[in-house]
Amino acid sequence: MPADDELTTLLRRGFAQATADLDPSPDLVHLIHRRHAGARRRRVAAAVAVPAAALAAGAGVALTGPGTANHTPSHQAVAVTPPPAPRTTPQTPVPVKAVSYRVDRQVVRRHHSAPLHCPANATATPFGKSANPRPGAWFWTHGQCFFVAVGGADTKPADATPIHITSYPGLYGTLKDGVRTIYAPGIGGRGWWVLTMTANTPRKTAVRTIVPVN
Amino acid sequence: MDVLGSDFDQFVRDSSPRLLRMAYLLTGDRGHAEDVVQTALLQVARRLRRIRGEPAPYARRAVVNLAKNHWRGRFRRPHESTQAVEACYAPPEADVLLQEVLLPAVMQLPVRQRAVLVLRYFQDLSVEQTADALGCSTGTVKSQTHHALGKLREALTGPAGLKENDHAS
Repeated sequence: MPADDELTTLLRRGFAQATADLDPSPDLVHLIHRRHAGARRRRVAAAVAVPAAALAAGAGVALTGPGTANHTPSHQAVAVTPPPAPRTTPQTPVPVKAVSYRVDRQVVRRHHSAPLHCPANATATPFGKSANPRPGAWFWTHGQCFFVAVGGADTKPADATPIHITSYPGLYGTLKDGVRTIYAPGIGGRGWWVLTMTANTPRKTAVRTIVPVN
Repeated sequence: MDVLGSDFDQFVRDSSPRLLRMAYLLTGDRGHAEDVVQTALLQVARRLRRIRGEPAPYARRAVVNLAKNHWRGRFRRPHESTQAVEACYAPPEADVLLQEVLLPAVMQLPVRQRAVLVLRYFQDLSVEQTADALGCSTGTVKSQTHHALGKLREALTGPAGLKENDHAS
């Protein structure tokens, strides 16, 4: 049995040997500066964008508040000089990164096969259980079987309208002939992920196949 | 460059080699170690004005915490093989015992015990400093060290390790 001293001496030697040829990248300092500056820009962008959005929302509420249409002014309008604009240093516009998505491969892989509960006549729906030619994921939810096909497209159709799902911003969708299609922006603005499903598929279930990446 | 100041640059240059080596010993993977060190130094940069005293202990603690998170994450990622951890200790001709028995045994230790060993016997920190870096009591550091050394001793005297009396040579 080696004593503690011998063991720790061995350990020190082992640690030193295992890390002898490890040196950080020579441009680490620059890398840290670059990442730090990027993080600051994002924080500044968020600090500017959130109050601006809140202001815009507040103004919207004030203009469209209850009774606005039938409101009759009871007094003469008085010309009011606007307050002087606060002095600000000119700021360069900060680009805000657009939301993009990737396919959640784990979900797609885990739900690759149709659950046993799915009825055999699921072929009657746009996506058949037995001979489904498209990559995608099967879900069994609310006592029903759903298939979400995952594909891609360079562009989304002009008639696609924005859809709002919590935690999934920037999605668009269409609903035609009993087929619902959801378009999610691809990474770096390159194309769109296309999720195709039957109209009765819960949208929250369908978007489990994608993950927002920023 | 001027946002963080030249003192910070000097701190990065001075501390990054040791932090990288520590991160490597904790994660067992060079790529992850570099990620961990970059993220830890970024955390230091972000809180530079609020850190009282030397930033080194803060950076060390950040590395340990990030490495712990990395280690926990490994078990949630089914595709990551532990072979990467073992392969990073490819043994040279000499010191086969260290490379083939001791260091793999260190990598098999629970992350906290491994962190204790790395901080105490690689970073040469005292029990108090180690406790501070790990955010635990000195008693925990002592007991974790005891358990970790016990496991390493078992590994060394097991079938793949040293036979009795061999270790002294």
